[in-house]
Amino acid sequence: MKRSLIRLGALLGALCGAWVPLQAQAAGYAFVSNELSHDVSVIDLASNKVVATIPVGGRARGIQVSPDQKRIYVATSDDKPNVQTEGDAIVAVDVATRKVVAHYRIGSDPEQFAVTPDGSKLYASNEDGGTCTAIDVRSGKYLATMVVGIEPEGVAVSPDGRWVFVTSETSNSVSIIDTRSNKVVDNLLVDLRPRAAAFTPDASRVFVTAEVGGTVTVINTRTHDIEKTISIEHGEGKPVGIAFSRDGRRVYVASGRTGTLSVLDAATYKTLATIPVGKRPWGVAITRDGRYVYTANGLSNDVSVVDTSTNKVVARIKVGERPWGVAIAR
Amino acid sequence: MTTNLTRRAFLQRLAILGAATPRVAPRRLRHAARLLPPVTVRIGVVEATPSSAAARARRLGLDLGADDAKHAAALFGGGVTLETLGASAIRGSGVAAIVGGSEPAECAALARAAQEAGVLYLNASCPSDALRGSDCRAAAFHVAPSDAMLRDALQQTHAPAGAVAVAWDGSLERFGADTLNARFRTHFHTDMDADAWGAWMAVKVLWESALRARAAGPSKLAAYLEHDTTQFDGYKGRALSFRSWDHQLRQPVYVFSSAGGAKKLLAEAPASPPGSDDPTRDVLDRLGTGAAQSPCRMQP
Repeated sequence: MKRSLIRLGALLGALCGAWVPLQAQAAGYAFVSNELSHDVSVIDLASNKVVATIPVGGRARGIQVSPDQKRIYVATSDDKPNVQTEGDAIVAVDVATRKVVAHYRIGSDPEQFAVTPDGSKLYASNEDGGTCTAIDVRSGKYLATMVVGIEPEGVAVSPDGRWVFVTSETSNSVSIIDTRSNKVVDNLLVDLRPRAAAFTPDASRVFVTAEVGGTVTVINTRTHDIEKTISIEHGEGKPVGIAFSRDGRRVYVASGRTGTLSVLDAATYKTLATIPVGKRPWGVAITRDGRYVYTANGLSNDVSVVDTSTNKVVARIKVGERPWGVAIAR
Repeated sequence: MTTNLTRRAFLQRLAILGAATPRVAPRRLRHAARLLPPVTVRIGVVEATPSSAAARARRLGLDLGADDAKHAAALFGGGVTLETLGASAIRGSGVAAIVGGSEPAECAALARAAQEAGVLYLNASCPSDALRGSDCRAAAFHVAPSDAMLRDALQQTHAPAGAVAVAWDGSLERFGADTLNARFRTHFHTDMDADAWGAWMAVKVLWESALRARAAGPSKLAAYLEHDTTQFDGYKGRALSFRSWDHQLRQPVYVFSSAGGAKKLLAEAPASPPGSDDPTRDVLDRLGTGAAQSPCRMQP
């Protein structure tokens, strides 16, 4: 009797296992910072639907996933320039529970930031202060403030965690920080109004978008020479956000004012496609498998989903007000 | 009766004053700014009535510009200095450029004085068409929009009676304007107006040109400003550049419902429909006087 019950149990268990729907293995989530509604929209990548909206208590801009994929960090700031207040913070959200689990003080007016690959440190640009502030994320402890250019914005960290590149919009500069000493070791002049910076996965180059220059500057990370200035949409593009495919072969550039996503070959620098997306796309992120690119469209309050195998928009998802950035967690 | 120096004569004077033959950094930007000796641009502030509202606004704009240049100097060395001068003290002062003036006659006199002294005049405030037209000078570079541009802006945006077109306003927000306005307000506890923006932009143009051209003398600066690939960011969302035929800075302008009180931003000119592919310079040249219509003769 007992044996047959066990067998019955095993059979039922097997049948239940066979009935598990195919979508149960979710592809992950896209987290979108909404600058004006002060919250983060959570999109389920399997359904491309918003499944949650998380209030974060301030103007939400830069957004990143932690290296272990378990947390989302969002930079929030308030309207009081040059002074760090309660509204200025990096907020940590737990991916699984979607709850805010920590606030980190990281100087005044944080806009963008980078998480070191070991997950231990955050480097944030202080837009109104002309500085970059570093903190230890485990202890929340302040580490250093480095003077960079005027109106710093983009922050990128090298895959080995050694170097941080910070762009400054008004001085048209890039400052290079050695994270071992937390000192600025070099400053470079780039094109007009640099916004985001991104390392190639092999760390050989950093690409910097110049919104008013209409170009992407390619910096050799070993020599700090400028290797190339790539025109986006014949120099009429307004490139802001940038993301590399995991294999480093393609780079995706979101152009705010022209409302387009440019696909570039990362080796030849040729533009492979120019795809119309929503209005004022700034943030851009690519799924881990490289299949889809998500753009945060600030003036149409939605997210465009582009299939990278066809370069076509396959979905538009309404999110909060003035979406700014997007980060993908699997 | 004034003699209008030709562009060639002007450059010859600069050469005589010891400036080298102008060479301009190509469009492919050099990284090497950090390896070069620092350049400091000396700017003369020349105002007939320094206590006027416009002159005081310009002074604040100049100070913010100098502050920004000082911050950039922390990265690259060099910087700018501002020195107050009387109009008769320009020649021999050693400044590379002068800024100042609100009234048409005053600005015309400053442009002439700069030309004769072999320095540049950055016009931050005067809109007069004659200054860019029949009375144009190679030494003058006009940051302020011209009357023709402001008229075109009102016409093209079908503005109602009482509306005004301006280069800048403290309420502007798009394209990073809110951060510049906030920075100005934090420094000076008052709003940045068109005079202040014009002066701030004049300093920015000079300091950034010096950094990229790697020179602080008037002839190299002039050559850089005139070069056809030179452009600047002025927080207006589009790259700004000086027209070769009259040295007018191409730029968007803003149409407000009135000059004061409860003014409202009505439109930006020139209008550009989204997705439009027209090159920025062609779009911006819809405002003001084109090459073919310009009475300005600055040919060598």
